[in-house]
Amino acid sequence: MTTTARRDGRVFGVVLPLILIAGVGAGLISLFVGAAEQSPAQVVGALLDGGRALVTGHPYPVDTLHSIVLNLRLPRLLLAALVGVCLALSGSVMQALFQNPMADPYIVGVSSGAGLGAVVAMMLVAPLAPLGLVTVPALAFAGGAAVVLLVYILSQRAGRVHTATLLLTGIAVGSLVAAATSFLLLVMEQDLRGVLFWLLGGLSGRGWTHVAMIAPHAVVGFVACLVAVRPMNLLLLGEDTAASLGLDVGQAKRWLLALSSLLAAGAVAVGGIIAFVGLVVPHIARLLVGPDHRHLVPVAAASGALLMILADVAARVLVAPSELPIGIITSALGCPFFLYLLRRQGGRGL
Amino acid sequence: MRHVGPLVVALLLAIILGGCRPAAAPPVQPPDSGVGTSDGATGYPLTVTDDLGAEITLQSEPRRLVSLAPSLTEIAFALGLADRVVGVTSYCTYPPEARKKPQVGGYVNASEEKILALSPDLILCTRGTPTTFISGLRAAGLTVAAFHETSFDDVVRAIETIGVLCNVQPRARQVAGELRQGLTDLERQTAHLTAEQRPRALFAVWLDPLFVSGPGSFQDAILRAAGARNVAGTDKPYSNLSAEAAIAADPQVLLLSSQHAVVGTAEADKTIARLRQDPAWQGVSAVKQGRVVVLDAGHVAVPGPRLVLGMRDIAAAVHPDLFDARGMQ
Repeated sequence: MTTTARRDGRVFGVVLPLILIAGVGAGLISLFVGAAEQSPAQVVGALLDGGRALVTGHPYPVDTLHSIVLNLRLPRLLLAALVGVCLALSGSVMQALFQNPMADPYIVGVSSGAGLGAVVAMMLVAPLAPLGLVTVPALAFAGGAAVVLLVYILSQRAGRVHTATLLLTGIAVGSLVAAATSFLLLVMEQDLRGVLFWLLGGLSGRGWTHVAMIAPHAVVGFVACLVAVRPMNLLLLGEDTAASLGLDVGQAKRWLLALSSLLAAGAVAVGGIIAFVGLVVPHIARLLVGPDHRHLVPVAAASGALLMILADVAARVLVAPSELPIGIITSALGCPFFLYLLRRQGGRGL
Repeated sequence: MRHVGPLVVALLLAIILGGCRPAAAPPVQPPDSGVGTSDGATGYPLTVTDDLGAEITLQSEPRRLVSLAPSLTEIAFALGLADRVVGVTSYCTYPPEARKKPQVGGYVNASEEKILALSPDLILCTRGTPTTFISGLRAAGLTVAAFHETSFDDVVRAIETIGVLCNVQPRARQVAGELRQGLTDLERQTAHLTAEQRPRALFAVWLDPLFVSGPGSFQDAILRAAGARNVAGTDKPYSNLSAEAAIAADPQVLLLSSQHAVVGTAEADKTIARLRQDPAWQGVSAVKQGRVVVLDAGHVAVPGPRLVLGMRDIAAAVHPDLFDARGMQ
């Protein structure tokens, strides 16, 4: 155990910087490639103009080059990274909370609640949903949070929440909410497209408004995950052992559920439902640096950001001038790598 | 996704199949080669090949029509077949009398039972109707004619073919002729324009997500005839376009189909205003010069006889100096 831990620590010291470097590299690529052909010099110039505008307040030129670099590529790069961080951390917390490798950010109904919220938003606002609309993400967040809260309240028995009850209640309520969403979708048939594309997940058409929406979730969530490292490590030993080691298990579970939902709802609100990242990135991180959350949390966050940045580049470039839904790419990129790690390491730490 | 997945995928497929059909259409038998007669009367029994490549035979003149698409309902009414229409979809809201017809459902949830109960002798549908649904109706012994309505010629041909099928050829020739003439007139009036005088234009069927009309779509034909250069940059008639590609193309005129908003209302204005405020779009010429125009979807997005109005709307938006916008709703 101790030698494993020491080895994991050494690996962590190598792996994290490597992933961060790769993330920065991927970020640069994402700024320089896209459907529009801009020379690297033009991109650098636009970035410098943007930086100058930020520092001096002197506005940058309003043209397509600056629009594309500063108001499309840059916010999308940040969004991809932040969504990746949120999903990967949310999945890590859910897996610790449920002590179940199948747990993902959507396991207690965040996704179905957010889906309902999005559909309701699309029914309420003008059918001609303009770009940069915030009603959908706002109601998606509200829906996701409301379903998690409902599931939690329904799972309580004499002030205690059993993990299995939470899981099953989540599935039951999630199905009901999904049924309501399906019904609304059929009733409002004519205006489906926006909802459907939103549900499929992706970052197309998102901008700075959405960065501002998710940034607090990612920052607060990341810090809270670092604070919650000890309870998550204790829960790995089983609830009874954790309690005997002095952990208030009930309270820890409550906080972890809230934390994970905050992260998941933030990601769902701006990116729709993106498959795979929240489920598999924590496992990839665990296979790389072991189960200790002190290492797992930063590595999962960095890997999630890296995977999402790469996936978004692929989504934008592969079928340009069209775009692919990003969920297709996250699965296609993440799955082979995950299977490789799984086979090589024999499933250690699952 | 996991919970709503199957439904979403089914609906999305229906929409994608209905909204962006493949460019290559099966060969369509021209309606006046052997099936139509010179005096304008159709002889029965009549066998034609529909746009899905299926051979359909009408034993006698159809008297009970069910339309499974708004555009086909409009065509039927324009051809004076209102009395024969016994069933429409819930989307068929034009002409207003169409609303009074019995409804058989929508694209994805039309009721086979309801259609059977109406005992139609001809069902008109587009390729937006799922093929399994069409084969189900055919297996039940019903006659279904499927129409491909992507290009401008497709629309004209659909009108003529329905004229032949329902023995109203003179009227069909007239309606189809008006459409053809409209396009020819536009081409004639813009023939003198140089390449620089033809603005870069983009026609957005939907704004969010951005879907644009590309080569092979009827909107593209109208745009070009009206003296614009379509800068969609795709090779498909309808295609999802990334915001980056749209902005890089720097359209000088941005046309938006109103979908369900009524043109000229606060709702349409709000859309334009929000697009103007979106920092990503602010560098685009059309936005800078205030040339973002919301057009009535009934005129510009329904492949039917009202394209005559659509041509006028699009021309006035592209070349307000050349074309008169008076009479626009």
